[in-house]
Amino acid sequence: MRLGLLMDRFFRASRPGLFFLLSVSGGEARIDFDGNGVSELWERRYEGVVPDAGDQDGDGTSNHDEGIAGTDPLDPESSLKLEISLNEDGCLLCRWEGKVGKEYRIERWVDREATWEVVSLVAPSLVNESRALVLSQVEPGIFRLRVGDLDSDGDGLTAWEEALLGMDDQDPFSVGTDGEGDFVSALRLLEASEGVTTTLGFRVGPVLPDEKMAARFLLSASFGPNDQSIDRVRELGFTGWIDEQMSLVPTKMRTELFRNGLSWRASLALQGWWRIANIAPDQLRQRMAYALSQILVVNFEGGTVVGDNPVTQSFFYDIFVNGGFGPYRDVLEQITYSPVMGFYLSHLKNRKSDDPVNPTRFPDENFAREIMQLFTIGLWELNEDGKRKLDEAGRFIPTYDNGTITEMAKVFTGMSHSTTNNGSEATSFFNVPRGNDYWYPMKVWDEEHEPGPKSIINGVELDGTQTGEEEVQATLDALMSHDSMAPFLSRLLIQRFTSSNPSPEYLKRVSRVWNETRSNPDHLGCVLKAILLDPEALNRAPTNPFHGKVREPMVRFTSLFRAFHQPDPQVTYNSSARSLRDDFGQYPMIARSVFNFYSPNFAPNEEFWIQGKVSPELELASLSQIMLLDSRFSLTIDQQRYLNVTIDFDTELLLADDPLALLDRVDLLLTGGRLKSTTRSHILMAMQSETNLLNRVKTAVYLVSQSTDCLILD
Amino acid sequence: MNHHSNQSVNRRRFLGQASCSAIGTTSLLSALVNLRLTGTLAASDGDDELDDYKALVCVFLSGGNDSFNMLAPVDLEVGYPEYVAARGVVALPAGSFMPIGGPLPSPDGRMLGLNAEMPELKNLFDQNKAAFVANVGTLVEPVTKAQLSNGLASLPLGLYSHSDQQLHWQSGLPQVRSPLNGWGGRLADLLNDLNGESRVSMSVSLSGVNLFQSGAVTTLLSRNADEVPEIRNWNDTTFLPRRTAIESMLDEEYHSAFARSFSSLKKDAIVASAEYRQALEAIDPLATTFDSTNVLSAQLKAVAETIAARDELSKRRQTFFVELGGWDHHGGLQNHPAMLGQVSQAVGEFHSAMVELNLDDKVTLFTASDFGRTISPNGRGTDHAWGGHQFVVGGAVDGGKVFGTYPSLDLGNELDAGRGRFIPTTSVDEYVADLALWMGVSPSNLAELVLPNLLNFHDVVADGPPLGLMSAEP
Repeated sequence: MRLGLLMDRFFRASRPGLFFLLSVSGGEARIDFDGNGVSELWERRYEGVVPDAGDQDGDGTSNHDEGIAGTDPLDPESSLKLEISLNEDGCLLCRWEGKVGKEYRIERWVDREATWEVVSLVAPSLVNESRALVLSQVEPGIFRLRVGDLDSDGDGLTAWEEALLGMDDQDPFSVGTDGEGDFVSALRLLEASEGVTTTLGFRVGPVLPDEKMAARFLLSASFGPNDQSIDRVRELGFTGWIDEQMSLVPTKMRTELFRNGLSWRASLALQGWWRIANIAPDQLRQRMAYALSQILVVNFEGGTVVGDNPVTQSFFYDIFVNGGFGPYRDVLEQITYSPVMGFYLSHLKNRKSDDPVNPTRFPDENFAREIMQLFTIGLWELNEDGKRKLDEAGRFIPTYDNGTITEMAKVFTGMSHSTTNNGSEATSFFNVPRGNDYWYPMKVWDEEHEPGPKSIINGVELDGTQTGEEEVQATLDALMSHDSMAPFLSRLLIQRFTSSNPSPEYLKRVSRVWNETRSNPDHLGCVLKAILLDPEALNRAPTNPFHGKVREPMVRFTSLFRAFHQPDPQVTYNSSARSLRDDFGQYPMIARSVFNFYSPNFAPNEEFWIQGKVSPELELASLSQIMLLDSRFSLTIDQQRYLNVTIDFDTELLLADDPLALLDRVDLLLTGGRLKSTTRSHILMAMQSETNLLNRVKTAVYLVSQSTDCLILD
Repeated sequence: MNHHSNQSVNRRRFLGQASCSAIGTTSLLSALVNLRLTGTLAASDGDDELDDYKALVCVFLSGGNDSFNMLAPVDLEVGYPEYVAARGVVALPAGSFMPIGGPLPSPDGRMLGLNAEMPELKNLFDQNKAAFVANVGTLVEPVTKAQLSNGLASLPLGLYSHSDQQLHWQSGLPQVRSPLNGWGGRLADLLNDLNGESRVSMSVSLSGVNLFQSGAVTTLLSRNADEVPEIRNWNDTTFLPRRTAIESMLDEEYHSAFARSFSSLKKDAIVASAEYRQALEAIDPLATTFDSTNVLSAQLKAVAETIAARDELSKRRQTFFVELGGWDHHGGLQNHPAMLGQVSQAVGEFHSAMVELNLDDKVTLFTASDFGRTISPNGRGTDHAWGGHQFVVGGAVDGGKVFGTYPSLDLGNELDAGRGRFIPTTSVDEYVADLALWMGVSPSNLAELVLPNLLNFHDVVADGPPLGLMSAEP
């Protein structure tokens, strides 16, 4: 929020001791990719005017302030001016040029509290082009007129923007179809080939991302930008690119396993992941699958019935691939019934208690606990914006207690293989599992399902008359309807893509889409769109030190290959999951526990902790991993290969005798053009000391990849 | 963070309220920083014993060790029949335990046995160099079964949950959900002044960044077991321009808190790694052999080597964190005995190395784990519970004893919180207080700054060490 007196002109009123100041204040959420506080709509209307301290029309109001006030920076007659007169009743008449959608306040300085107090407020909906306000019985003092933006419905657009685009600032979904919020709808209008004609009659657009914006977006929306994907985003816009990505045929892990005549090895699925990240065209879906795999965690390490069977593994991973844009309810149901999850969290062959009255053997509680704590609602009752709800005594409210867990454990009894290893129907709960039993969903065998009523989550009572199958479904429904789910899971997903510390407003925008689209066939697709196409994700925020996140080591590594490797479907794309895991602290599907590679609440130091901020990925930054990661990048770049996957610097070599051009290119591909000027000068110095052109390229790529600017997404 | 305005609540209750938890930790933090600023951190009264070297090694068995199959009653009259009845399908045959001698805690004549896969530990116990602490777990204050059901007790948050209980064991603040630091880190804050100048932290982890060793002012160093790595080609002059660029980038001022945090971590890592590597190169290789196929042995070997290099690293006090996962035996305990064997072997090797260095009474190893597991099975394995058994090894330990109270395994007894989840009879605070005092933390600093809940159980200033785990020093 910008405070202070940005327009320092003041007018002496006709009454002694009555002063007026003018002031502007910017809001946070708006279409403002460069983060300069002025809406892109204004900047596009007055193309060529830089919204800085300059004053193009010489009317005494800076371009920046005209941008906030929505006035014309090229017309000296247009700016925020206040006419004041005193009428015969002693009332003060204030008159100014109003802009529809802006909020105006008359404020009085309260010296004792050193604050401005609102005397009168004109809401955006009441503003017309010429606005007058009558103040009665005004005491002498210092007053100011303040113009600012408001986002009443919290959809990420200011009322002014909504008014210009013909939207409603009281409804976050005022024009979108099926769960697209107004911010996404606004982007669609701006990115449309014909542009958009505003309600004031001027035309804007098409507003398409420049190459840096496109590349920066692809750091989140893919496993790394390259020339082709940057071009495609610039051509289609963010919305069009996402639409296209969502229409692509899923690249299933199970179809990638045996490419190029690979023979059966336990590691095929883990290798398949590496191949998919590098060359699959459906990058957005694959990023979503990877994100889901870090929430609904299992482990593919060898030595178990799951770890030794790559086909079993791929059937599991494809739940995320196929369901990445679909309803979360489907994904949740599939992992609940998956024997891979059943094996990992031990609800496979979970038996009912041995005696309903005096049991000595009890249902396994593992899955019942983790499905609540990690997969659906988390530990606390949450509001839509992620803040914890409070009880009457002001305390946080736990979502469940241990009693809930023991009851929920009863629901998840009786689950076992539905299909035997030769593909025929299983005949009993106790079927001996071998190999591909694990390919097919489990079923609930009523003979081992705990009978009787159960008091499960969210106050839901199961009366004991339903079948086991029905009880499992009712329990999943009860979890889906819990208030905490949308903010809990939206936060985890936002952390994987764009931001470790989403603001309550950002989280609320995404949660709202989560809830709004919960029954849509493209539920998670809508949620993902809301995450990626949010002002907090798209706009730069140069003044917020906690904006963005640390990028995952694994995604930084894939980004290197996406940028400089020429995809070749004939290559087998070998990878050594264990050695990369040792170097990075992570490799997909081999987290150390169900708690993933890092805690979503990890605060790396006092500064973060005191501010209530987190950086999950920094939990990986041990001394060893810092050194090993750097060395892995250095080795890979110098050798131009990781195992049999090669890196090609042909394009970069053509630029190598122009270090600045070379650095621009590497900067674009690896960071989205976010290198600070100081970083660039350090890297340039090292590049210039290399006379061998290939070594110069390698030095540039290595240093950019290890720069702190590249490590973070901001 | 939730700011509470009620000033009248006394400190103990204040810490006991979850919503005030953040403030509780902040005050600890600022107290430590103030002590450091005023130069009053000296642990004891400057007596000679502080010239000694001492180290504490935490062996964390993550996932929740089913320690009722590690240490079980074996007398055939009362204990073993009770054990078999309670444990059902996960009960081991009587022959799977080695009876241990020594004075036992239970007055009812029960005899305890150690899992037969742990001969090294049995041997150390017999030499009075190992002791057990029975039914220890996270507590804010003493709790009875009645208080549990009427909801009047202040309880650890997230009972029976891995993520919470692991943090509580390590923070010593079980009423706090996102603590900033751990008791090992706070201990380091108090003792680090005894160490000389060095960029290598006195707190070394062999298993990643952990809460236990995170301090208010001291940070931990986390390395892999196999080596202390350096950046490739770092000292190769051909690549000097690269190195210069990396160093210059790390020295930049960053507005992003993420960038600032990482730059400082990497800068520290580069300097510490060089010093650490140099120190390790200066020492003679250990004669004691460690089983290279045992991941816990590999970690403890790295600990032993670091201890051997203590003079090169200018250390008189160190803490270490090693970890073995895989203890979450919901689906069956088939591999549990072998894992116990793995622990025993690694601990035995480590102790031999300490004897070789003539430091076995200067280094104390102790175990910790998320929680004990349900005494009753779920059909195949066991579920998350609360109290469990731990052990301590070292020449300074008053060994050959079982401290605390070994509970009756009768389901439904006065400690059974349901399903055979035992309310701990010894708190983590009481357990680790003895260790912290032995390291040289003064009783008042311990109660005030390291273990703020300790006074709920025991007045360490008036009454000395809560358990008497460590032998009185000569």
